[in-house]
This record gives sequence, structure tokens and C-alpha cells, in this order.
Amino acid sequence: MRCFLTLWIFLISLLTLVSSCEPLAAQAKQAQQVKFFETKIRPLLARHCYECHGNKKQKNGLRVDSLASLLKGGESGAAVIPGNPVDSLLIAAVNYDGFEMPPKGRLQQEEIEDLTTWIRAGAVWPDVEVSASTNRTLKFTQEEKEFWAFQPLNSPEIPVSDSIWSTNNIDRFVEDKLKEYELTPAPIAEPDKLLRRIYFDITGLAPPPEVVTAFLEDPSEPHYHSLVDSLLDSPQYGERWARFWLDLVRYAESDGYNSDGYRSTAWHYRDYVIKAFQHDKPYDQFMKEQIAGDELDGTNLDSQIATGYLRHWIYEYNQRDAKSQWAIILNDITDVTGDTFLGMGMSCARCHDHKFDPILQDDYFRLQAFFAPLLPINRIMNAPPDEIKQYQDKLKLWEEATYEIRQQIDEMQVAKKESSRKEQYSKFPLDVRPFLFKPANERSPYEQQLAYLADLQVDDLIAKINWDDYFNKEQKAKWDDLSDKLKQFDNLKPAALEVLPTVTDVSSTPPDTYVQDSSQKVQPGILSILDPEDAEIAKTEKQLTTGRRSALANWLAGKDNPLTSRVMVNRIWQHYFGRGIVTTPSDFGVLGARPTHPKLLDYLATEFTANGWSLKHIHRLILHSSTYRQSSINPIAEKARALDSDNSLLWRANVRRLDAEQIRDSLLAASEELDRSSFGPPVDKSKPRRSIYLKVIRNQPNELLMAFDGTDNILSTPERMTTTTPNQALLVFNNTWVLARAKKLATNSAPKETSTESIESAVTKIYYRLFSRPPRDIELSTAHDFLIQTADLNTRWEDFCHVLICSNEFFYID
Amino acid sequence: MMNQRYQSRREMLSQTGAGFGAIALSGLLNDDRLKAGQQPHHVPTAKSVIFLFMEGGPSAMDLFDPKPKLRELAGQPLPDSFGPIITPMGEYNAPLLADQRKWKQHGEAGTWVSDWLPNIATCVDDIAVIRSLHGNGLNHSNGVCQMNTCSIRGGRPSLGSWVSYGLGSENSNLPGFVVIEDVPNKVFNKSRNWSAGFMPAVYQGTALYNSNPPIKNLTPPDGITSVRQQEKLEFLTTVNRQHASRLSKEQSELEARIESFELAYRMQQAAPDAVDLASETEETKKLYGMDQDATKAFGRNCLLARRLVERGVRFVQLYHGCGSKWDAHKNIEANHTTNCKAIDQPVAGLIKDLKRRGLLDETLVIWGGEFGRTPMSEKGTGRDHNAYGFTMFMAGGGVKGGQVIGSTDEVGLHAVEDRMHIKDLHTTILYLLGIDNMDLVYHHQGRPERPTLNEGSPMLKLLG
Repeated sequence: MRCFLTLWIFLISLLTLVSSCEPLAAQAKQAQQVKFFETKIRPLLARHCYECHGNKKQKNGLRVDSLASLLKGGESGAAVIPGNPVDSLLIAAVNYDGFEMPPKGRLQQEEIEDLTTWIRAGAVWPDVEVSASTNRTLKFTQEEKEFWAFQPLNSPEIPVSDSIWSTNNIDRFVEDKLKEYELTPAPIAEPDKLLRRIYFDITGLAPPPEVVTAFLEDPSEPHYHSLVDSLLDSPQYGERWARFWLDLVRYAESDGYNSDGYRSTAWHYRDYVIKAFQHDKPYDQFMKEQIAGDELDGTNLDSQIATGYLRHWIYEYNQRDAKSQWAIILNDITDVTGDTFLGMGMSCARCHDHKFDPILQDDYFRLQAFFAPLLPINRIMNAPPDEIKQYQDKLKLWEEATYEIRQQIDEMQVAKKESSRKEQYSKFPLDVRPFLFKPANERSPYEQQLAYLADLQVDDLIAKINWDDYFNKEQKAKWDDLSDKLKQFDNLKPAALEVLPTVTDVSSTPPDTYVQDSSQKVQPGILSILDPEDAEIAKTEKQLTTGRRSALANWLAGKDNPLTSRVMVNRIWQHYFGRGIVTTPSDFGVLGARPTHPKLLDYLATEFTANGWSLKHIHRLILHSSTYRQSSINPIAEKARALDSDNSLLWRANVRRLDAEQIRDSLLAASEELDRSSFGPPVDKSKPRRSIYLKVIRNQPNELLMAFDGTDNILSTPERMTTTTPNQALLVFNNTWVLARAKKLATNSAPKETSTESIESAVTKIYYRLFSRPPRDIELSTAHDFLIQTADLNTRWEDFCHVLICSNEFFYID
Repeated sequence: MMNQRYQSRREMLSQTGAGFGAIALSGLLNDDRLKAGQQPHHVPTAKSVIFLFMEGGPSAMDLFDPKPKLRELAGQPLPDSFGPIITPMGEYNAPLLADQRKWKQHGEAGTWVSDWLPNIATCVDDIAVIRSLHGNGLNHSNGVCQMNTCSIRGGRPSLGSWVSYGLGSENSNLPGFVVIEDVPNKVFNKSRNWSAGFMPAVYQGTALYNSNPPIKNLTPPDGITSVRQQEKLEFLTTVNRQHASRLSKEQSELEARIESFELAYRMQQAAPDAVDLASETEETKKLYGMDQDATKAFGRNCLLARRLVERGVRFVQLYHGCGSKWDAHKNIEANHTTNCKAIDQPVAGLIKDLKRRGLLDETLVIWGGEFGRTPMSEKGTGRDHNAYGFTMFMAGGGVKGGQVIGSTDEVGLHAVEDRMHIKDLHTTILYLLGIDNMDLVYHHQGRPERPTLNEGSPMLKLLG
């Protein structure tokens, strides 16, 4: 907007200068025509025509972004004849007479008239250079500029409430909205249900029976608050909430294409995320570390590990088409970043200006340009500086001691290695091959990136050369001798330190970024609707990288960013209520949903930034609210249902099914097998660790987790679905793993004898454990009837336990 | 589908949008009230699909697309006039390799088929050969992924999922989308190939095994009698009903979950029956080649496919050569001799059996791999991957047999006439099922997602 004004002032002053000698009336007329052009015609052309007839594309040879090109026209001749709209092809085309332009749909009648008027009056086109950023801005309508998600964040006024139901400000917003519809919220849920709800929501696990007993005895406010605090402080909170983030960034421990190579050190990123949640790392810092941790604080291992965020893309090691592969990787990073941090579905804009959202094709590549200099590396050692120093010192000793032996070994290998490399390079396509044969220091930054991809496969093949078979008899003797000699120094050689998957930039000079399939270069920048100018990139301290990612990170974490905080608080809300205030959590755009409670969203977002981007602050606000603590049953349900059947006004709690990880973890917890240890390398699915610690192999998704709508970790997943399928029923009823949990549970809990007393005591215990409550009388008698139907109580008890862990009450949070 | 967002079935339907979205039903939503809304976009010619996937990539110029010029130029490098291409194995100057087949024109239409497929050759008057397919998958992983999802990258729903979403199943006791691998768990990309991607899991393919039980978890492990199972199920229903009675009426997903156990129980009866071949005659089994060692494995799978579509399964995908067995980088003679032998009789048997039962009219049979092979040799005796131009064929489901559509250049490298991208192929398959590719929409993260990535046109010539 600002630049648009600047342009205006410039135009007016220019006109004043140029035409100062002309009669005043003519001057005024000229100024009027320029104004007409700038307010009506240029924006119209920009919005409807530039995409196909502008600087990127010139369909049928026509460009419409200057008078000269309009006069010249395209393949069909001049598009505009000043003063003669009737014979101007442009006017014929917009009237769908001969041509049909724009093809998406006819212009408004008023717009056609404006164009006609403009040509009739002589097609005045002021002779000023219009910057790319202004051209971008011109494409947006007023309505788009006023779209809610792009508006600055302001602390909204808190509605006044005298209700005794309200606990905190969240409730005031919710109640205010309910009042509009003459609805009243539901009463607070019963203590057993509430306890189960906070346990599953905060930790992903059911409350232990002794906590149930204690809370049922004292369900007071202070007790509730202290439970909330202790759960938010527990390691299980981090293990639960990290999962949502891992879904968003499509975290996995394998490459994803056919060979699906294992990423043995990827898990450090998973632990980083768990710890970030657990220790309430400020979200601005959390964002910055993932986008640019290496640039912002390269000496901090945590920041380096965080850049693992930029390494989760799927990757095919034997892909020869390096150019396309690199483009796919950058597109993937762009898409995930748009979805995760901005809550903007960018991917539609990769091939064209977004059809519905004010996201330009330029914007897609402006965002991508921040990442264009990326270079993935595996060389940051995962150890404290003194340990690294020690390692390097030891290594140096070994290197010195073995220098001559290694020289000789190298001499024996060098010819074969070089010929192998050449042979492999020759197998790459013609558009890559020349770069590969260039000396490394002569490659452009982009060529270095492609060579990096190629070398991953080539180096791998060279490393696999079987030297024992390669040499002739005489050489072999020498080879064996050298190998033996080298081995004698093994005691000097330090064990290799683990290296982390991180990123850096290929150089301090960025490679060029072009809009897809065009020769139009773009500089890094954020969404043009927020700021059409190129981003300002500050040089980094050591100038080894471009500083581009730091610039993006700082913008994301800026307090005036209207998207990041709204998007994140909405995600927190979503996981407590089963749906966000914006129900499309990664799409705050025009195609996404509008917030059901816009002021509440802004209240939470401002609370978030004002409290140091503390996630736990938002958790507490929600957990303390009466809105969260509502029962799922509201006496006014019938009326409410008629007005708001999907409960978007929050007149009751939603009953929610456990998600995939909660289901698996709960089954293990029920049978008292759950290993609650934290962190470390991923484990096989047979291990009773929490699901977040299971190996994530993209081509071998976990059967149980996938059956319950787990994620494939290929695309960003902002929201798990909840489906109900017969396959799930078959799985819980017949699967041997589930049956084994039931058996274990049964063994741990079987009644000691067949007396009614003994049975009822066992049933009561198991109800506490599985459903966090005592059984009702009817349940005791139903259970009793089932259990004594056959003589074999143990088998019957096993079946009873199995049925309970298959039941709806086990699978749902009320 | 029971997405939590939808508190009622009606709302779910209204969310999926006007018109055709309303027929996007499957599994549990098999409800007469809803079926009434299942109107395709236009009159379909096919009701179900059997996709015979020759994994690894069969060679067009050795099977359906004879190239005399290739014999002429054999031994020479590819002339520059054919333009630069990328071969994944990177033998850039490998000489052209002539085919070694005997070719004959078959049927009334005189369709060319090589001597590797003598039985399929007898069906050509029911077959439309398409010689002009092309795609973007350079490697198997990309290629198989694109042939299933239109995209070379993973994460999107496969065609069978889109069809299940769009048309639902004709039989509520069987899954709508079934996949059979000839060697279980060996196919490139594994079960990702029949994933529902971002759509609900109910639309994903169900793997069927040549074993008992044919579907994972279909039956309880040994030792649990059916009486015991039945009693548990009844007790579960009691417990669930007691629970539901204490909750508000809105929770339709709880009811759906109760129903899902009943449906699962019905599936336990229906699935074993579908795969039980005892009632098939010896003559039928012989027709599929089940009497010969070389053909009995794939013959059995082809016969299973017929039984499944007979029972209303919408989309059946049979993989042959799982683990890329058609991938003849060297010694294509030995490779294709074995593979062709294994599928020729079974595929021909399937087409003939469907036809005599009156099922071919409504069943679309598709044959092909993720790509074809290069006219240039590799390692002297093999051929590299070629996604620039390759052959597939279709039979039944409204496709006019006895025709050849499209062509490749003189050596069979690039598709030239009537070029048909994999997106066009999917569009065509959907079209035959009565679905317009641009009108089948699933809203994901606010984006309208379509099965062919908003591109593709149907090849109407196939309809004759």
C-alpha cells in the first residue's frame, strides 16, 4: 500500500513538472485521465490479464503491460487503437466477440465500460516505470486486502459477563457468542470425565487409578489446578504434544522412495521437539531454530538439530534427474513451511496465481527463494566442544602416524576411484553432466547443489567398490600388507562421533530463483499482500551463508506477523476441542474456514505473544476455562442442536475418539506393560515404548496406527481424521497383538475366586483402570452374568477384559 | 466415513458439496436413503475395474508396437533427431536393440501382437491397444506411484481410493477396493500404492492374500471358537449400548462404531466365500491356466478378480511381478519369455470368462506397467525404462475392441499421435465409470483436490 501511495505522489509531481506550461484545463484533464488509468485500468489489466500477457508469459505474442506493447499487439495485430474502441481487439475480446478474454469468465460490465472509456479518451498511459512490487500489489482487490487473516493482530475488548459459569476470558468470548443465539453453555463435566479428559489431552494416557480415587474425593478447583500444573510439567506432556508438530513437519526416519533408506540419526530432531514442548521453549525461538538455527546460533547443538526440520523431505537416492529432484525438494520445503508456519496453502500458487487466495505465483517462489541456497549436510558432530576437540586431537595423531600408509593406499585406489566417478557422472542427463565434470570451485552455487545430489549416489557407489577383488595378485599382496599395517594403528584411532542431519547454505552467494517455467527471476519476499517489497537480507556474521533463512525466521517470529501466532494458538485449541476456531488449521485463506470466534482467536494470539510465546500459558488458559470443562450433555441440547448442530458455538463438549498413538499407548498402559522411558533411538513396534518412539519407516507404516487414521508422514498433516471402519473392528477383535494385551491385562487383574464379592472387586478395579470410574450397579451385574456363564472363569475373564478394551468407552473421551 | 466434524450423516453429505459429492459414499454409509443419491455425472459404461499391473515395465516394441525401423537401425546409436532423453541407468550411447519376435496381425481388426502373447492375441477384437501412453516417472518408485496416483510424489490417494470415494461399493460386506500382489509385500512403494492419501482410511485398498484368512485380522486366532467369538461380540454390544445410553444423542459415531463390529462380522462370512474357488469348475480353472505350473499363480489371482467384481467390488488391482520382475535391464529375451508366459493365458482367460458371463460389458480390464522400455539396449541384451512412450490395453467396460489408438515414433521411444498422459488415462478410466475428473472433489485443508491434479482429458476414441 505504501509503495502504491509513493507511486502516486511521484506521478502527480511528475505531471505537474512536465505540463507546467500547458493551459490549466488541459493539465487537469490529463491528470484526471492518469488517475482514471491508475485506479481503474492498470489494476484491471494486472488482475485479469498479466498472468498470461505480462512479463512471465506472452500468450499469442501479446503483452498488455505497456501502451507500446498494446499498440503493437500480438499475432492478431494491434490490441488497442487509441480513440477507437470499436476497432480495438482488446474491446472485442473482453466482449467475447471473436476472442473470449479473460477465458476464466467475462469481466464485469462496469469493467468493460471502463476499458472502452479509456480507449475512447485516447488510451492515456503515463510514462512511468512501475516496479515489480507495485505490479504485484495491483493484483489484489480491496476485499482481498481486507481479508481477516491478513489484518494486524489487535487485542480485542473482553466482553463483560456477570455469569457464574465463566471462569476466565475465554469463557466470556464463548458465552457472549452463545448469548447472541440465546443459548447457554453446558454445566461443568463430572469429575471422573474431566479427569480422564485432562489426562488424555495433556499426556495422551489415562489417569492412574489412585489419582482417580483422590480426585473423586476432592474435585475442588485448587486440586484441579494443581493437577493441570503437574501434568503440564510431566515428560508425558512433551511426548503427547510433540506428536502434533511431527505430523505437521512430516517427520520420518526413512527416505520414502522405494529403497526407503533409514535415517539413523533423524530421531534427534524428534527429541528436540519433545523437549521444546516439555520445557516450553518460546514458540518464536522454536520457529527460528528450525528455519535458521545454523545461521542464528551455529555453536548451539540444539539449534543445529532443529534445522532437521529442513531435512524431512522424501528423497530418492538413485534419481538421475538431479534438476527435477532438487526442484521437488525445494517445492516440498516451501509447501510444508507455508502450511505449518503461515497456515497458508501455498502449493496451488506453484503453477499459477492462486485462483481463490491472494497468493501470487511470484509469492510461491519469493518464499522458496529463502530456501534456495540450502545445502543439506551431515558433518555437525553431536558432542560438546571439548569432546569434539579431544576427538580431533586423537584423530590428528592417528592421521600423522598413518600418513605414509594412507598415501600409498590412496595411490593404489585413485585411478579406479576417478574412473568410477567419471563413469558414474556420464550416466547423468545432459543438462547436469557438464556441471559434474567441472572442478568444484568453478561450479555456480546451483551447480554445486546439483553436484551434491549426484555425489550422494556416486560416492556411495565408490565406497562400495570391493577392493579385495579389484587388484591383481601382485597388487593384492601389497594391498593386504598395507591394510594390515594400517590396522596396527587402530588403537590410536578414535571412535567416530555421531554426525547430525542439518543444513547450511551452499555459499554466501545465493543461486537464482526463477518462477516455474519462466525466465522471471525473483528475490526472497513474503506474501505480497502483506508486503510486496523484496525482503531485506542482513549479512550473517561469518558470511558463510546468505542470511536469507534468518530473515524469514525473524519475520515469522515478528510480533506484527498476523499469521504465525493465530495459526499456532488455533492448533492448540484444535487439539483440545477436536476442531480449531478456524476449522482448517493449515489454511487460513479464502478457501479455508472463517474463525467461529474471531475475537477469541485474536485474544489468544495476543496473549500468546504478550507472554513470551509461551505455549503452556495458552494451555493453562484453555484448561482453566469453563468452556473446556463443559459436559458433553447440555439440558438445552434440543434447542442448540436446531441452531448449531455441529456445536461450532461450543455449547457442549465434543466426544472425541482417541487418536492412533493414544490407542496403542492406552492398550499398553491397560496391560501395565507401557515402558515410560523417554528419548533415544527409535524402537521396533514390538517394544512397549510410547508410540512416538517407534521407528517411522515411510514405506512400512505401522498397521495398528494406520488403521486408526495415523499419518503416512509424506505430506504435512494438520489434522487427523476419525474414521470408523470394519477393518478397525476386525483389528481390535482378532489381532494377535491386541489379544495379547487383553491376556496380559486379564492375568494381572483376574478375580481370585468365583465368589460374587471377589468378582465385583476385580470388576471395580478394572473399571477404575480402564474407564477412570467405579462401575455402576447395572454394569456389575452385567459383568457378573457374563463371567459366570461358563465354568472356566479365567478364559471368561480374559474375554471380559478384551471386550472392555474394545469398547467405545475405552476408545472415546467424553 | 465418520469424520468427527460431521455430527450427522446428512451434514457430512452437505459438507461434501452439492451434486456428485453426495454420492461419495462407502463402507458404513451404505444406507438406502443415501444410495438414492448415488448418481454418476453421466451414464457410465463400466461398473467395476480390474487393473492388471505388470510391475517393472513391459516392453511395447516387443509385444504390441512392432518397429521395423528399429530392426533396420539395430546396432546404431539413437539418431539425434529423436531428441534428448534421460535414461535412469545412464547408458547414453547404447546401440538400438531390435526385437526378436514373430509378429502377426490378429482378429478381424488385424491388431498386431507378437508371439510372446499368443492367447491374448485371440482376444484382440475385445481389446483396444493404446500405444501412446506417457508419464513422468523415470524410476520405478516414481512410475508406480504416478500410475496409481497421477503424481510421482507420494501422499495422494490412489485411483482405486478415488473410485471408492466417488462410487462406493456395491457390496457392503466386502471392501470396495481390493489389491492382490502375486508376491506379498514386494511391490515397489509397498502398501503406499493403495493408500487413501489425505482421504479417510475407509477408501484405502484392502490387501487380499492367497492364504487363510485372505484379509488380515479377518478371523480370530486358533483357539477362539465361533461361539465364543459370538458371545464376546454380543457382550460388547451390551457394554457399548449401556455406554451410549448415558451420552447425548448427537454421538452418531458411537452408533457407527457399534455397527462397524456387525459389519466386520458379516465380512468374516463374505470374504472367505469370495475367495473360495471350490465352486469353480475344472474347465474354468483351466481357462485361467490354473492347470499349469507357469500360469497357475496368476491364473488364480485373475479368477479371484472375476469373483470379486461379480460380488460388487468396485476396483480390483492385481500386481504381477511384484518386486519389479518385468524390469528387463538385461536379457529381455529370458525375462519377457517367463513373464509373458505367466500372464498370457490367465489374462486371456479372464477376458473370455468375463465375456461369456456377460460381465465384460460392465467390467473394464486394464493391462500395463508403470512405463515401457527403451528401443536402445542396455547391457547389450536388455532395455532401460521408458516413460516417454509405452503401450497399455483396455478391454470391456464400454471400450470398443479391435482398435489401436495412438502411435510412437519410428523406434518406439516417444509417443507421437494421440498422446495419452497417465493423467489422461485416469481421466478416461473415471469417465468410463461415469465420473468427470474435474467434478470429483475432495476438500482437503481447504483445497479442492481432484483425482487427476486438475488436468487430463478422456480419450473418447476408446468408446469407438
